[in-house]
Amino acid sequence: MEDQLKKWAAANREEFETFKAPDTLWAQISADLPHHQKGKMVAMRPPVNLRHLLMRVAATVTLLMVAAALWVGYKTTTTSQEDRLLSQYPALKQAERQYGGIIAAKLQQVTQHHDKNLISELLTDIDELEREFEGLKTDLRDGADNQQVIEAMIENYRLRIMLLERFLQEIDKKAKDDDSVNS
Amino acid sequence: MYNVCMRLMKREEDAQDVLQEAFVDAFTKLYTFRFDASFGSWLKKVVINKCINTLQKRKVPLLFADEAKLDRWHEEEEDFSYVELEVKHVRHAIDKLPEGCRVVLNLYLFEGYDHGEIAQILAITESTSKAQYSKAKKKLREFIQQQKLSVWKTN
Repeated sequence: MEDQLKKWAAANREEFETFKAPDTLWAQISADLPHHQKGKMVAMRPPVNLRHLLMRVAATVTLLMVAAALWVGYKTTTTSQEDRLLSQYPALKQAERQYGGIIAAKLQQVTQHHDKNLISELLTDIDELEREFEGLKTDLRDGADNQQVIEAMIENYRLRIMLLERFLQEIDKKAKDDDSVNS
Repeated sequence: MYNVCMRLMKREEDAQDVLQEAFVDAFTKLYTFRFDASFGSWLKKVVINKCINTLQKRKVPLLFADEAKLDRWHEEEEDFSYVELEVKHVRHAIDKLPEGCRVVLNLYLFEGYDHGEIAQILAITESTSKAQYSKAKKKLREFIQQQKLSVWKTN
């Protein structure tokens, strides 16, 4: 049976999109971005008129879009380079296929957890391992002792999985302990 | 994105706070974007997760009743016409729904997620998501009928 409510909501979709974020919100977001400390400058400046404020916001958005486009371009290029690199080393390609999905799935599980402080600690560790992995990839391109580099890269995948698994086990254990205390 | 936040958070102040935090998080963690989806849907997911986490942290968390208890909500659409409804009345009725099923209904109706995706986002089962949606629809119809009745009485 057709979902009448869904059909009705789709037909009236635009009327549910009427809220507008205040202009100041985008300026606040821009100020909060760590790569440029605009927040303090905005606070210290005398009040600006709406036109100037909008121009500043537009400029920031444009900058972000350009940065995003450049980043997308870079990522696409490096992705095809990576594909070529991986195709040269079947063991690495297999590891990528085998472990990449596991890591993504476990990261997804981790992000469902509520304790953001704990998660941010874990993600810092994962991030460090990812950076190390990128360094190894460069070594591989530079033609260093490739067998050793590949082994280190596969070990890096395993380490990330181990960290994620340990975190999820701890959370699971803590939840069970809490349940038994509460019951 | 602001409308997504308004639907999930209900209050303007909360929607603004969450959107600000989510955007800053998203842009500072841009490197975690993996091209598994479009950038827009990734950003939307970040915003929605931030909303859900904020709601979960509140004193009254999102409660998703056991599937068994929700079985009674698995009922088919009854004779109810949505055609004549006004958006403002439906919006008001949605805001009155219990938190858990309100979030499911919003994600399903307006954010384009299916029950499998909602289950992932909220860490619940797919059937719980379906049951919560059925419950939300039933309650929505009740609220709308109450609204109609009170309008009829005042006239």
